[in-house]
Amino acid sequence: MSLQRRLLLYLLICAPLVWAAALLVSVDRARHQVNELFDTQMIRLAGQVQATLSSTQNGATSAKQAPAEGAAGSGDSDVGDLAVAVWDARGQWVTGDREGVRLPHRPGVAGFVNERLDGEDWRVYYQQSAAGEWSVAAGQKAYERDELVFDLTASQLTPWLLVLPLLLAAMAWAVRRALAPVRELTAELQGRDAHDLRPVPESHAPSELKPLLGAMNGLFTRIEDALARERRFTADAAHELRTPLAVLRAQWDVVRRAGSQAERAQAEARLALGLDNMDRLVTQMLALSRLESAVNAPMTADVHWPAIVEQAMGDCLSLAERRGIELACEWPQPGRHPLPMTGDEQLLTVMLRNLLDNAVRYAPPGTLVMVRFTEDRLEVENAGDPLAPDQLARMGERFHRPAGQQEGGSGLGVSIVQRIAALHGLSVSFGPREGGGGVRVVLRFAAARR
Amino acid sequence: MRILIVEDDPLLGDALAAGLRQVGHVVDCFGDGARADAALAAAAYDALVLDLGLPGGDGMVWLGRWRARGSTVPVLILTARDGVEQRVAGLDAGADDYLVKPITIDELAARLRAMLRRSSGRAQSVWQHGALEYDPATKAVRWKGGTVELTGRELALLEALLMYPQRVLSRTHLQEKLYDWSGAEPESNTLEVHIHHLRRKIDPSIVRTVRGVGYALGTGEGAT
Repeated sequence: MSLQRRLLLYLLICAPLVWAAALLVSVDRARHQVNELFDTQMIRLAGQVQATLSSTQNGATSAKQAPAEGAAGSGDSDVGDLAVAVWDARGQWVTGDREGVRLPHRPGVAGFVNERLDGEDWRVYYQQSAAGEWSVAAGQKAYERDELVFDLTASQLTPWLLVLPLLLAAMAWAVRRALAPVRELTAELQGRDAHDLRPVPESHAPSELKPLLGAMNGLFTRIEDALARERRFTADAAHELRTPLAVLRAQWDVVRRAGSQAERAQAEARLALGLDNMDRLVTQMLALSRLESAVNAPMTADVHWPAIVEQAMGDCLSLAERRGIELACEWPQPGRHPLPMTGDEQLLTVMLRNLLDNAVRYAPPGTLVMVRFTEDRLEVENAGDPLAPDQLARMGERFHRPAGQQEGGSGLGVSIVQRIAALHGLSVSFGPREGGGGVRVVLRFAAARR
Repeated sequence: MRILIVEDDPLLGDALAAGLRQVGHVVDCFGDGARADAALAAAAYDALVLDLGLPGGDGMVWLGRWRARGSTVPVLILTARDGVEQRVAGLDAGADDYLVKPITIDELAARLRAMLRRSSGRAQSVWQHGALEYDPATKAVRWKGGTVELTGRELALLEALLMYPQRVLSRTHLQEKLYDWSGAEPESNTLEVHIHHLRRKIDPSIVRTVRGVGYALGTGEGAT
């Protein structure tokens, strides 16, 4: 439901409710006023009758009509709505309305009494003379009073009901006007194309919209960053694929033209090597691009490091054999849990494999590559040349490969390691081993999930 | 033709060198600018294939240095950088051609031929010298209308001579055009053997000997 409709509906429900409450109060007030007015009149009527009776001991005929006429003068009320009765000391009916109702004689009662006579409610005022020789009663139908209260209330209610449509119209207009910034924002966003992620200006927006706009602009910035990363990655990837592709093309040309069997065999071996490199590069690219979107990977399983080490070392064994590198792993003292954490074992295997692969690839032949676990860290080290400061600074830059390398690499391994480590809350640092030589990678708990 | 390849990816360098050797060129391949620089100073190359992303100094920097030194060797840039501004910068820095990886050996060879044609001031793709016709694309040699079969080295020698028809070329220069640095040192008289074969297969007058200096292309009219 639109905000506008919602607001109007609330108004339509709330206004009558408020009005009804106001009506109740005003009916009560009106009834009070009317009662007060009529009661005074009845007291005066009774007093008048008694005074008349006292002045003329036998003036029954003249005493009975005058007050009744006075009371009947108020609007369209009937003469029968009023009644007067007089009794003597013995309780004998002396005078009163002959055609109206007979008010009951209640000796000893003084003041107002609500009676039910001939099926109708009456309000009757009894007055006893001081000497006790007369008893006077003046009554009025309750209906008379209700009618007046109703008339009073109705005359108040009518303008309210007449005004309601006007109020709704005014409200609709006001809501429309108040919601104009929302419509403008909608139009602005609808008119944009998919690549337009400029922030929406917040300065002129109403304060209610500002948090929303702020959140939206924040989202825009994040989307823009993600898009830029994607674009850069695609461009880098396309660029990086050119060289291995060039190798394949050129080597394929050589194979086709090869004159001798030996030449062909050599070219084919090179072609296979080129394919391997290409394969590696594409695999790494895919791994990294999957990792980029792996924000929601389940990180809850307990990590069993021995299995991970076994798997990762197994994957690096052939390379290590080819280069004459020995692999070793050092565990903490028995009974101590190595690097306890939860995470995704498959991802951690990829991470360790990349670390081992780099360590093996760039170590001098005949040396040792060591994986070392302690309770709070994981280290991988080799005996290669220490990294120069500018190399350290460019670690993790995608597709960056230090100069003068004989071994082919994708230039993505460190990026992959860093990404997986970040997903697990591990911090990665590169440096020389103790004693200065070689390269050591240290993974430490920053905020790992224990 | 003797060609220098500067390419840091060893697999690609190997493939390019092997491919160009197959089409009859003499090729050296180096992985960085400094060694290429030394090679360029040591031998007379007919063309240079230059990668840009080199360790220890960008290819463009080296190209600028060589051009500043007055080197006129035709340079073909072969790189993964495909931006228009990068092409423009490469050509402006003194490159004669700019190719983006990947390419086929055929195209690379054709581009090199075209570059060479321009650098030697020829407009036709078939080189003509008197009664001798040589097509560097097909390596076909015709003498007075008849086809002549030549070996790779003989072709390279003929090409080297045809490149500068008016000049006397030293033995060292010719030898440089025939052998790269990968193979064994040539026998001291192998050049004479190849020249002897050229004279026998084409015409004795095709190569003139200039005593004490070297060799030059003959008139190309043939003995009458």
